[in-house]
Amino acid sequence: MNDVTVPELVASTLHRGVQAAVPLALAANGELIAERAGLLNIGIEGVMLIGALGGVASAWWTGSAVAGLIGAALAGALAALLFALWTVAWRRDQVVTGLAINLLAFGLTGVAVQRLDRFAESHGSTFVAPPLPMPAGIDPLATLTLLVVAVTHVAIFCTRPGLTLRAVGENPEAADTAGIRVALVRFIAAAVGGALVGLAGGALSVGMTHRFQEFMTGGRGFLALALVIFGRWSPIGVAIAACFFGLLDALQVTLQPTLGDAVHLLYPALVALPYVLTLVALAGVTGRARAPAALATPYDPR
Amino acid sequence: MTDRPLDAPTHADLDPSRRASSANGALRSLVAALGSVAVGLLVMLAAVAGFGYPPLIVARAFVASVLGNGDRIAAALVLACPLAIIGLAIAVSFRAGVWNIGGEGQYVLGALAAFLAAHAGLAQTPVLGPIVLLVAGALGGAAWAALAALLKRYRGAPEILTTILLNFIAVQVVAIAVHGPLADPLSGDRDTTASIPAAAQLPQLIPTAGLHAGILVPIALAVVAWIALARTTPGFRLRVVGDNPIAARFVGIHADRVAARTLMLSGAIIGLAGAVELAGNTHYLTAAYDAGYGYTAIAVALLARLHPIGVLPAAAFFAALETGARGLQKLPDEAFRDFPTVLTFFAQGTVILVTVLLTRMRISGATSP
Repeated sequence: MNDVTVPELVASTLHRGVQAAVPLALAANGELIAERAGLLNIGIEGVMLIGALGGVASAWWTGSAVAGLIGAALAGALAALLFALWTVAWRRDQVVTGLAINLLAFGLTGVAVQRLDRFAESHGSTFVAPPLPMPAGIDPLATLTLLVVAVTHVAIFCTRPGLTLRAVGENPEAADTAGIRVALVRFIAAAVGGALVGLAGGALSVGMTHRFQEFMTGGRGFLALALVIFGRWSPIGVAIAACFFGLLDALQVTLQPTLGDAVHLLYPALVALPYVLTLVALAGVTGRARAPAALATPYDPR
Repeated sequence: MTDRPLDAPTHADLDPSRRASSANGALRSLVAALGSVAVGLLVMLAAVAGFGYPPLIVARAFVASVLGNGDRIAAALVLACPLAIIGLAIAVSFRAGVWNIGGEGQYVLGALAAFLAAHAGLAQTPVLGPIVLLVAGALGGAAWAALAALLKRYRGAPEILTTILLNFIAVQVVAIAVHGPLADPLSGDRDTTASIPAAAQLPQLIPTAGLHAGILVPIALAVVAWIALARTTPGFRLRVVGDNPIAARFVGIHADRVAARTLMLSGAIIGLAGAVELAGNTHYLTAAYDAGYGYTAIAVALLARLHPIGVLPAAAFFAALETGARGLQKLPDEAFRDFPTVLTFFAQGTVILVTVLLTRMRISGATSP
């Protein structure tokens, strides 16, 4: 640690910060799309986990990290469709369904990874994803995230489908009267949002650690839920908030070796720091941010 | 959030299944609960088979490992104890439309507070000792929940998020305490504390099986909560706020105040669970003291359809599931040596999904982020 210069340290922290911001930004943008349609999915922690496992599984199976990311998005979309089936088609409580999906995903991925590890081993291989290609030293995930944020922002605020999405989230009755198929829009929003959340999981597993570990999302899905509020339901705002928390995460890694003997005591404090700051920020922001009016409310077209 | 139409979630009042007071309603609840359990078990067996274990052999071994002998039943009851207390607290808060997802944090903070109290002078007295711990635990849990209640009341921060975030913080608070000032000087790795004094521990009912007197706490609490919810004015207020916040306002009930108090009450009960578990079962803290009870207890409360008495069998069911899975690993058969106990989370998720499907349970309240 002693022979690292300060500029190098800053550069590596920034690099790590961007890496850490990517899954947060993707997950929060996915949740944002669903929330704009009136769906509050507390289960995105679980959707992210399923995406992370689906990503490593398809990357391992095909031998391609890109296919892994696609698999992660598909797995996330599927998990989110389960949520939509319960909450949109059957109009069940969104929070209860989301909590169930978290438990379901935690159990399912925990067992599945154990079996897949064993399966890969029996075929003389290890259950890991190959590294992502880095054309010309450009981080493909960070680039993809920037694109996703820009496209979502424009799509939500400047296009007709975006207007439809917001109408469904603000006033489903009026949207219905105007001929919009509320349930269909919510299903699509859930699937697209879920794909992004799954991709966020894939960015963690396929993009960073190359392997799946039990509960590897470590609360990032819950942080993403808060990021949507900080970003005031705007993709660019959410992305900025994600960058802040990504940097925080990176600082934690950078500071860790400087703690010396106090590491035992201070390391937990560093781990808790993002959550403490999120709480403080929630206390400061929520009064001024306005959620989509129909958020977490089932729509019953009677 | 603030300008969300308050009348939005009131479909719940029109929903006959919310009123489980009649005999018919009670029967329906029971059928729904049994149905959820049956479907949950079937799905879990299907998963077991899907992951390459022989389902029938697993099922038989499972039953044997839960009910096989007295010690295993006692182990399930010991595990059911914290699940039932926390499940009860969550049921109470959900009845008021308050999303207390902070069971995990309030539980470990309750245990921490109880541990600190165990070294106070008063806790060294034989009979008084455990009582001091339980009170301290309840205060600790209530204090932790109060953070979320204050943030909600004065800053409008949704408790559904703040309680989850506080879970992650609480776990680290305990880690800091255990690594630092509370570390047992005799343990080299500084990852555990010393045991609490014997006088502060709960008496054992069956010492060989680890069955402690604390398992009476959830039974007593469930009866008290049942009567309080059904027959007292504060209980009535709590239910009105949960069923229809607008109606609450018209009859002069301050929904915000009731919600904040309910969250703290819920935290106090969960903190009590932490104290009971410390004084009766674990006796010392570890740096990673959280055991996921806070999340499992949500499944307990929902399977019980938020009924205080229903929480007891629901907790017993999930505890049996967990001890059954752990018991499988101890069987002589090599095939089960690494049986994934994490599968029980899968069962919990499935049971919630089926319960909410069968009963149309909707938790309204004026709360969403």
